Amino acid sequence: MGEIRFDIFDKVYSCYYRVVQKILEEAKSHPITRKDMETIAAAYGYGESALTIVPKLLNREWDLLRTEDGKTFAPKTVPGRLPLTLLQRSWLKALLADRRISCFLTPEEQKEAAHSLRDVEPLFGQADFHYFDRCLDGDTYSSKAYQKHFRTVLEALEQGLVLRISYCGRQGAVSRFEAAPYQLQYSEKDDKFRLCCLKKTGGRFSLNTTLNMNKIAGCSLTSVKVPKKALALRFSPIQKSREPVLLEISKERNSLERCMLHFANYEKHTKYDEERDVYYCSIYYDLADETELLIDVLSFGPVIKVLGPASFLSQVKQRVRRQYEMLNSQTHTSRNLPE
Amino acid sequence: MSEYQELIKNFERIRDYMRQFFVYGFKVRGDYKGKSARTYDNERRRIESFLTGYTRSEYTAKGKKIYINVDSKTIPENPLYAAWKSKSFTDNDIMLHFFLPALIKDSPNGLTSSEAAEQISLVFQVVFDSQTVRLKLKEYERLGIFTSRKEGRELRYFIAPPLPMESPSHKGLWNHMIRAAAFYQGVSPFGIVGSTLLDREEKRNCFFQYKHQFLVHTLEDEVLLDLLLAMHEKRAVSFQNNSHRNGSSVTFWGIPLKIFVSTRTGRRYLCLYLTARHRFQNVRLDSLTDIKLLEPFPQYRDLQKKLEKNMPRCFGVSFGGRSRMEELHMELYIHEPKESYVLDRLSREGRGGQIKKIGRNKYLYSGYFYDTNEMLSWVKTFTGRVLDIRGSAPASVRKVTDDWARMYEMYCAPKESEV
Repeated sequence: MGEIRFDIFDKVYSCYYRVVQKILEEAKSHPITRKDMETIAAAYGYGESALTIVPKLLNREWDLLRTEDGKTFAPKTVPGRLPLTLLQRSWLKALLADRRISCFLTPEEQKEAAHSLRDVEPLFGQADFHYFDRCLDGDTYSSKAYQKHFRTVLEALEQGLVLRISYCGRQGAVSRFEAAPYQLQYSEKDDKFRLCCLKKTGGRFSLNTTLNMNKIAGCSLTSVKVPKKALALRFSPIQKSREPVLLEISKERNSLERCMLHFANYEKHTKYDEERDVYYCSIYYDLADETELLIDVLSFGPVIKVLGPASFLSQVKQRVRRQYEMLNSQTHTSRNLPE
Repeated sequence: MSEYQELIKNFERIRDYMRQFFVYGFKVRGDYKGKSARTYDNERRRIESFLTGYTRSEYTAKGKKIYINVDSKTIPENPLYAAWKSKSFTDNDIMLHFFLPALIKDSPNGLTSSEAAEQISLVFQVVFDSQTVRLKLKEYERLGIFTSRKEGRELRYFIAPPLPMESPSHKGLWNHMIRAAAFYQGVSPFGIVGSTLLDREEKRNCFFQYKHQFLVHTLEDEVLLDLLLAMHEKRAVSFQNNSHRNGSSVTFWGIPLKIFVSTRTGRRYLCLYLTARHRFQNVRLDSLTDIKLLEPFPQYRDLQKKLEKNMPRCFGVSFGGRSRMEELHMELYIHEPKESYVLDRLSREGRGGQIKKIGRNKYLYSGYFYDTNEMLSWVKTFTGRVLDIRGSAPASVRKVTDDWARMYEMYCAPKESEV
């Protein structure tokens, strides 16, 4: 990386600069008012940005606008899009070495992109990181067929088109159907992409389904548009639990910190009970992830206790009881392995 | 007393508060020890402003608590990135940000700093001294936005050329690159950079949903950047390691070699070689502050090779004690036709441990690692299936069997009133 020292926290990426850029662009197309500026600041800024940005522009501390009547404003300049910073170029260069990039760029495109960035050092290398607990059966990104299916899926998502899919089921049997895709889910832990779609059954796109990208044996675009109800499902859980899982967290083995971080990707709500000196955490989850949440909770052992809901608690009890019975039905002289 | 500003000068100031609000979410003002009430109020107000729509508040007996409430599956972009886009600036900074590129773009022969200052005054009727303009030109050259060329005794500034792949003839490629950026901003190290790229392109992530995403990692990116620089330059580093448990702070000195990432627990670690103790050690990235890059370490490559050799013997992040390797054997009940998915999980999560069928519906997993204590959380995910467990580290085995006994007491043992 030579002598280049990057700074992520730089004003050039400022949210305020972006708001002002938007105001100048809008003012270029038509004279704008204070209200217009406030609307833009509310759309692109933080909660209170308009309170600073608009007065600064109006009182000319940021002398970037002209006005004839004091009510409508035109820009002094609109510089347009700036060149990429070295940090941005360097980040793009790093992506070219990622094993998943072949899903997005053809080999020719990768070559062209590498040529474009030939003078740039990558921001990081794949070897800088070790994902020690990532599942070993991730998707086969290097497979030509996988890459082809992936790009077709991306086209379908971008153009809002229905896909015709051949899919390998559990027993290896291939089924063929049409599906309206609405999002592509990626799990870093599983190292897998899953296509979320509405499968066509009985002539309608009605069955909300998640398909493993690795099991798609073939897919092609149709000219049928994805129904709006499918697009409305983007970024929403398939089926949210009616009740949260309620956990009681002791202070043993740093369990609070471990638990909070472990479940940080869930919507959750934590409170402290001073009298009992314990924490209560409610975790809201997608029913599709229930088993995963269950085994994650079990991994903490007795330092967290499931209090409800009843159905979740009964699954915990069932596994704990079975475990007790299994270990106690065996007779052991020792659990130590010989030296 | 200074007036409240939405923007901040120093990222470190907000990093800790954001982490606390996001990860814990139950603390009230009085729980933030060592900070004044005013500091707390300002940081809370800032976070509420940055994360409008993602924060919630609640009144408790101890006071009002604020927390960040996000399910990573429901958001296209990490809301915490907002903090990176909040650096404060001066009036001159923002005006020059818009004036200079506009003028330089229209000057095929480039501009010197004094020409730029003169042009600004002429075209925009705003006066800057040439020193201020010169510093901004240099700053933007460092960022890669401008380039410079020496002509005689003058330094002339130009707009940096776009990447060849941004040209209209490569429109397809550039669109695909931005599509990739929309994905990687959510999974790649330094995803914030991808987010700034999408801002520039006026694009958003429209259809990549992330599961098992740890949004809080972005708050460590500045620390990570320093460490990677040290790693790429093969330098030693020193830093403060601040314990989350007891608040103590210790100075470390070592050779940074790799970043260990857990995709399950949300933790990231710096793996370094402690020369004084002649051993590898992992320290939590979110505990580190005050990173200092020191002198290059001549035997860096040798250490890297040694680490690569050691890594397959780590189940997680522990390199164990000074004793030999530890062994753990676990017999599992897996109903073969119905529960092949459990066998699949055992194999994909077992980190190279051996799996052997030892009877009908019975499998033996054998692992050989530096520290079997690290395996226990994973072993407990198989609660309800473990027929037997044995190990060369008796304390580890006892710990897990004791845990199961305690869990039985906790969930299944008849209560006294029922006896």
